[in-house]
Amino acid sequence: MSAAAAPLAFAGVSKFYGEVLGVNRIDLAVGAGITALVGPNGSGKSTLMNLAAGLLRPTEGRVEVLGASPDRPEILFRRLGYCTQYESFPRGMTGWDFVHLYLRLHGLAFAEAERLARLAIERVDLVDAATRRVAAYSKGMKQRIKLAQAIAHDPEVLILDEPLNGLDPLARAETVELFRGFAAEGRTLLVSSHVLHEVDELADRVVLVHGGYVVAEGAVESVRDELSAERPLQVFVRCDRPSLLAARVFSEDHVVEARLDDDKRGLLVRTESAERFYLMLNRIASEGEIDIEAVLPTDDDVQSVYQYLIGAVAPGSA
Amino acid sequence: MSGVDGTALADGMGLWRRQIGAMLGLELRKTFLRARALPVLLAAFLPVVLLVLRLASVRFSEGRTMAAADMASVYGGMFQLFFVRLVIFFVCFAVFTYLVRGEIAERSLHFYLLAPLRRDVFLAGKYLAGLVAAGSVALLSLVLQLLLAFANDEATRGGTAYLLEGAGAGHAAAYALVTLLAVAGYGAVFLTLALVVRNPMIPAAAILGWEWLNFLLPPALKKISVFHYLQSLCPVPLTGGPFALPGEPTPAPLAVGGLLALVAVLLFVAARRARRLEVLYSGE
Repeated sequence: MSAAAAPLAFAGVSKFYGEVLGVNRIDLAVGAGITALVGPNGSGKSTLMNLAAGLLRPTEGRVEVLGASPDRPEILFRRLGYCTQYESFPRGMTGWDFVHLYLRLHGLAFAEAERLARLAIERVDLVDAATRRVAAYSKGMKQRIKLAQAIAHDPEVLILDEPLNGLDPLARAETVELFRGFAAEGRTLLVSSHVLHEVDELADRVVLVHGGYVVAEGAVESVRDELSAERPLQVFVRCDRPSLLAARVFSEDHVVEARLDDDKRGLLVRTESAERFYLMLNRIASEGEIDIEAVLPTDDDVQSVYQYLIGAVAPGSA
Repeated sequence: MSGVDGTALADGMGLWRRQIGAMLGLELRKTFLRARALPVLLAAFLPVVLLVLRLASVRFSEGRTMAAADMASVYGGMFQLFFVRLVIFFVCFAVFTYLVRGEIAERSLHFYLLAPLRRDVFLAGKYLAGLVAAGSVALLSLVLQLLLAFANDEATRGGTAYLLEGAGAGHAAAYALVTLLAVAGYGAVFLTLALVVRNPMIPAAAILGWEWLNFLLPPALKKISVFHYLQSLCPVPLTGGPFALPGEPTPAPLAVGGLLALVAVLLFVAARRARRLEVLYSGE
C-alpha cells in the first residue's frame, strides 16, 4: 500500500530524545485490518504510537492519520482512538467519568455523551464497575476502561498499545473478537504486543521493530518466506513411514536437513523453499505410498520470525 | 459501531464552550478534592487567621482597638504587602503550576491530549479553571478579611459605618478588582512557567524577588511586573517606605489595560508552547 493511500502513514520519521534514539527513519504504511507492532520493551513501539497520536513530535519526517497531521488534534481525534500504555488516570475519576468526560471533551451534548459512554462500557463488559473509582480497578479493568475510552467515539483508526495486557483469558478472547469485528468493518487497527502468540492469533500483518528500526513487515507467512533462503523453514511431518519419506525428501535440492523423530513416527525437515516443499509433500501424499497424518510447521509463527530477526540484527538480544 | 450522532456535536464557539465547560468541571474537582489543596487553602486564609487573632486579642486580652481610618490604612498595607504579594502569589503558584506540572507528575496529562481539543482551547480551559479556583478562594478570603477588619465596631471604631456608608464599599470593590487581576496576572505567569520549565520552583522564587524589588528597577523594566499594575489600583496607597508608590499613580484604565496586555502576551507564549507540548513522563 502506498503511504499516501494508507490510513496511517509514517514517512521518514525519526524521533530522538536528546541524543537517545527513539525510532529512526521509519517508512510505514498501515492499511485497514489489524496490524501488529511487535518488539521488545524499548524497541520503539510506544514511540511510534505516540508519534501517530501527536503525544510526541517527530524530530524528522511526517506522520499522517487519514490525511490529518497529529499537530491538529481537533481533527485527528474525531477519527482516531488511542488506548495508551499509561496506567494513570485523572485523580478521583470513576470509570464512567473517564469515558463520559472524554466524550464531553469531544463537544458532544450531555445526553449523547451518556449514550455513547454506556455503549462503550457495555462493549468492554464493565457496566457493574463503571461507578467505582478507576484507582481501585484491577489492571485488567483499567485496560478495559481505557479501551472503552478509545472506542467510545466510533473511530476509524484505532491505535492500541498492549491492549491485552493484564486481561484474563475470557476477557482476552472477547477483546480479540472485538478487534476482529472492528477489522471486519474496514477499520484500521495498529496493535502493539510483546506477547507474540497473541499476534499470531490476532493480526493480518506484522511489523517487527527493534532498536528503533523496522526490521521486517508484512504477513507473518510472507515475512517468513522472505527469510527462508537465509534460514530454512522447519516442518515436522508425522507419518507411518518416516524413513521412506526421508529418502524421498533428500532427493530435493531445497531440503537441507531431514531428521527422524525419536519415536520413529515422524520426520523433521528443514527446507529453503516452503512452497516447493509443500508441493512435494502433496505429491507424495497423493501417491498413497506414505500415510501422512500431520504437517506441523515448527517455526513459521511470529515468535520464530521475531527471534530470528532480532537475533540477526542484534546477536544475543532475543 | 455505535455511531456518533452528528447533531449532538457543537461547532465553533459552541464547541469550545462545551469543551472548556467539561474541563472546568474536572479541574475544579481535582483542585479542591485532593490533599494538596489544604496548604493552598491554609495560605489563602492566613490573613483571615491573623485578623481573627486580632479580634480575639481585643476581646479577651484588651488588645488595641483602632479607628476605622487607621484600620483602613493598616489593612491597605496588609493587603498589598502580604495578601497580594505573598498569599495570592503562593496560591497562584500552587494552583496554576499544578494544572500542568501536577498532571505530568501524576502521568495523566495525556487524557486531555487524546481528545479532539485544540491545544489553545486546552490552555484556555486550564487557565479558566485556575482563575475560577484561585479567584474564588482569594475572593472568599478577601470578604472574610474585610468583615473581620471592619465589621466589628468593638475592635474597629466606626468600622461598620466605613463599610456601609463611607468609602469602605468602594474600597472593597477596588480590593476585589485587584484580587481578581492579581490572580489573572500571577496565574498567567505560573501557567506559562509550568509549560516552559520542568521545575518552576526556582524561577518562581526569582519572580518573587523581581516583584518585591520592583521599586529598584528602571521605569521600563517596572512594567514587566504584575504588581506594578496592581499597585496603582489599590484604594489605600502605602505611605512611606520603599514600597510606596512614587509620584502620581498610573490611571486605572491604563493599569488594567497594561496588566491585561501582560496576561495576553504570557498566554500567547503559553499557547505556542502548548501546541508543541509532548507527553514525556519521568521514568519513561
